[in-house]
Amino acid sequence: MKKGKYTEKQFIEYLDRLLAGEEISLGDDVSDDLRSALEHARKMLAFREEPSPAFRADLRNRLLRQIAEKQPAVYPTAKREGFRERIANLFPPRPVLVAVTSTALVVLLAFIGVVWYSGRYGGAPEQAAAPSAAEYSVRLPTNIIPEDVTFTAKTSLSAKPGQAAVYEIKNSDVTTQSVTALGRKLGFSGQAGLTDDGTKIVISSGEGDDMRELIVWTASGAVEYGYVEPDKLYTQYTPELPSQQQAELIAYDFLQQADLLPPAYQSLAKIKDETTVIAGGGYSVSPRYAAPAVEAAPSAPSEPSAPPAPTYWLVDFPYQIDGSSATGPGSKIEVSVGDGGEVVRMLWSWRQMSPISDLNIISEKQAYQELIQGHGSLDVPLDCRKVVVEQVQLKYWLDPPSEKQSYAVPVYEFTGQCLDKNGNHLEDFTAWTRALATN
Amino acid sequence: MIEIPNVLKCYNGILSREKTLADKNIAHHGTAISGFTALYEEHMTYVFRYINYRVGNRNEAEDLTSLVFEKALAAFHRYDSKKAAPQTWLLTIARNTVTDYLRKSSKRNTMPLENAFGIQSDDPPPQEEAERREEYERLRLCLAILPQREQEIISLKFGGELNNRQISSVVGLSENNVGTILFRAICKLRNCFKDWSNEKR
Repeated sequence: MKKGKYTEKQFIEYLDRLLAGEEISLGDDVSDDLRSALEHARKMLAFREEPSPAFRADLRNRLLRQIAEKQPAVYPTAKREGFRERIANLFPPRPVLVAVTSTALVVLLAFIGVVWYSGRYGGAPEQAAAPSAAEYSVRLPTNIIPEDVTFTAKTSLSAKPGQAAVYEIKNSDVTTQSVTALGRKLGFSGQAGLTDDGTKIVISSGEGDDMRELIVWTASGAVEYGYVEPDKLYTQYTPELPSQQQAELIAYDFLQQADLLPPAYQSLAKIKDETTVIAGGGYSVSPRYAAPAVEAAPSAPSEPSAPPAPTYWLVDFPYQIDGSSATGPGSKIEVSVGDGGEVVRMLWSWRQMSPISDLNIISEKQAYQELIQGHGSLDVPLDCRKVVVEQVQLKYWLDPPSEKQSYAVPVYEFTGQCLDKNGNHLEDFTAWTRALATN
Repeated sequence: MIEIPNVLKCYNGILSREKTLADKNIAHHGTAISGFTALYEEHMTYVFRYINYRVGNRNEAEDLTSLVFEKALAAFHRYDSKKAAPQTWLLTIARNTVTDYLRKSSKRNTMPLENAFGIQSDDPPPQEEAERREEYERLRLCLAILPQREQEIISLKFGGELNNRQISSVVGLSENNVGTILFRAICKLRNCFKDWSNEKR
């Protein structure tokens, strides 16, 4: 071997050992040239920069959110797991955490008589068998909190229990005919077919980069539409995006064209205040660019050039149940508008439902205690030492589209931030507890 | 919209999620989506470091790292662990993303040096810190004046911590060529740094 090649080989061997974290001692056969090159390599290693914990946590959360959206599409069907197992798989355990698993918040409701709701929908109440307690259960994600975390509420918590309606979900029959008909409205030809052991019905159109698919989950009737390849969302060129206002209209028209507008949303004006348009894709996915009001991604003052523009607008329509918000992975009505104002993706999991009963719910204060005692659903980072609750809202939990859900049940949703041992912000959190009183 | 790869159809449930198992288990358990979080935990630092070397700006590196993982998530169902190790796969996406970014922004790694390693502060630093910062800045400048291919290989090595075989598959060069370019690039960096040190004296 030539001397130069031998030196290179030696250099690579030593460098790989340095990168592996080994302390190396150089032998006598090492030339001065190699020795100084390795010293410089060591210096370069010492100057490497780590991602900040805040960025790491923020990106992790954003990815988890996207995973939750994709979850029904990518999970296997040969052997279906329960919701809890799947959610647990999404959240890698931290070895030193004490995982307080208090999922399966089965609310045992003792009904002596079910008072049927006869309010706004009018008509005589029908007599029906009271649902079993299990049917009113709510399946929340696993609770994972560090051992020594403390809780603080920076919002007033009502001590007053109340009542809230439980809704019965009308699970519509999804057939290949109904999906084919929906496909026609969205420009698909051909016939839809069952896939993945009958859990989904799919119709597709086009080839290569232009291939589109329409997927409908048989369990819930939830719909996912879009291009198979992600390039339409993350374009390799600067897309010509419509304004945010135009994107909102395009998204609304798309839903209308497909007859997917929820009954209460027959006018965009009615839901405009609740609808958000968020910059997506490109380099503008970080929160500082994701403000609803921006026309284009703002440039950071300290940077010499403006960051590239977003590659699509994500129009997020409100998901409300008689004026109350929904939460959970099945509460999505989102339309992504990309290059040239084309709708490149849609997630729609609207479920028809009607109120069946007003039931007692625990107070916000009681719910907060449940959360502290580990009976809720909270996932915070390993180094979180303090959970600061900033808002509590009563919402309705909706399971992922892959799940058949019979009832929409109220839950308390807590939002706030996690602080480290020095009181520095680590990340925002969202947590839930059951709301229905057990007696 | 998302094609289910065959490997997922026989996914058998619980994926061990210990961080140290990530590479091996992702390959063995298939590309179940739960593996993505393990992949993220295991490889995010390498992706960030690689990009930070390439663009020389922490904010941009964060945005691009976000984009890389979003792309990776979107394409995860097509990922085949037999064809590439997770780190190689991610860094290939990162390389393409950075290349596209640099091309679109007509920008090269010539950032103001005070931004290079995210060490901005309004307070005057103590003497020792100031010297260290100056060294940082010089290293960045030396790296920025290297040809793109050398910058890329240095970044894949020191940021992505790939071995030469993996680098060769990412950049499309032979393993021998990678070794040669890497050694020469380090020598150039050393000489550049040494010249500056001598001038200082």
